[in-house]
Amino acid sequence: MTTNASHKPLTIEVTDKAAKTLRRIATKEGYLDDFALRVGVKGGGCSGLLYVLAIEEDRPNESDRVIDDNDIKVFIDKKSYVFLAGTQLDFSDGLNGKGFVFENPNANRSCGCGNSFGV
Amino acid sequence: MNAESLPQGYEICMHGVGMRKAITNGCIEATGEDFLDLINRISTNDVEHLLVGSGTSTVLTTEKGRIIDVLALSKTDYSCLILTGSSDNQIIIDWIDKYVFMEKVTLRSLSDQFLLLNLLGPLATKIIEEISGKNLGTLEPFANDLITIAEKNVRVIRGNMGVVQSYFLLIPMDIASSLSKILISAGASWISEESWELLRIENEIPVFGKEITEQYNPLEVGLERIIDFNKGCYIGQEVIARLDTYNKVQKRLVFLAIDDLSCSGSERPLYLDGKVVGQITSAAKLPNGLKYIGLGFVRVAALVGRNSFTLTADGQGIARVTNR
Repeated sequence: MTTNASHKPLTIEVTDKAAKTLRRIATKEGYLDDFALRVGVKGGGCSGLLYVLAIEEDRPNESDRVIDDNDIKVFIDKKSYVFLAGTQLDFSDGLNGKGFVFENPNANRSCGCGNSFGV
Repeated sequence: MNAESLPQGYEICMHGVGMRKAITNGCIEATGEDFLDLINRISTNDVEHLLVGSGTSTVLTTEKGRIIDVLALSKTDYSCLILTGSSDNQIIIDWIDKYVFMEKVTLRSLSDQFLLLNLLGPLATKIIEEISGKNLGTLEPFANDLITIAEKNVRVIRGNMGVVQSYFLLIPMDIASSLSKILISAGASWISEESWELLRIENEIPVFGKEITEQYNPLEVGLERIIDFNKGCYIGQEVIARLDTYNKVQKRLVFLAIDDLSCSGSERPLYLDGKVVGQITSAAKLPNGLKYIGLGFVRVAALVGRNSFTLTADGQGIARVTNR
């Protein structure tokens, strides 16, 4: 019997660049280390679902899933998690930079502007 | 309930007040502070700032820009009433619910507890005002007011049936029978669905299941007036905007005058030079019994310089596109 050593539960990954940017924004908004990143999904956009991203106080809702990655605490509601599990949050700041970018393996289509996706 | 059949029912709606159970529609109550924001994100019209008492309509579309349903929204002081085109509320509740994540939105079907009564005709306003003692003023389509009939509160919603006055009364089921009798005493008469179908087609009102289906997009059905092209993204917006910008709408809903007594029902193809260029989706016999009118879709290319199509490949029966 063989096992897949790389198998791990699907999570939300925050890249170094995204984590650094989030810390900078949180500090600018007056947080010390007591902040968390809220990620989620809401209906809308051309393809049906929009990403939600917000910095908030470190007080998760009872039904939230709490993930720690790259020293960033991530809160995600259970329904959104279904659509975001395995997503990598990156930050793009090049000439064609788009800001925060979701690399979502569940998305099978997205709209032209990239803000909306469908599964 | 004895419904007046065609042509009596049609005449009643032309000169008095016809009354029908709006079984073709469903009614949903939406509560929660986020509902209008949500529905604004997933439908075509700008509905975010709907004021209490007012109403509008909007189209739920798929990400491919196809129609799920056309919804009439009517805002009350504590909820938003949704009149669905589909009689199956659950389809619409499930569709909207799919997009509820963190929002405060609760949807409840009212169809089991309330009778949706549709009053039609030039005396409809007068009768409602007489039995409720309330001046309705000039309610815009899908605006609502709360009236009292026989000491019971009834929500009245203005309908939208072209030139024919139309109201929906949302009546608690336990008083539906007594209230219907009051309306009849005041001069209203039951009409058949056949009469209503004729009125609907005559006023070019598309209906769920015939013209309002996932087979068509809102531009093909002529629903431009309830698409806001400036409000930003909603589900299907990219496709609809592209169709409009590049003038890529392939077919159009048209009103048809049909010279063929055998034209019963719908879903008959329309031919031009022996080729199928469209389809009749609704048809009704005029009260004189001599002709039919209908609604149907015709390919835009076939409408250039032509307005006459046939019902068979070999040129039998004529259906004329009529601008009214």
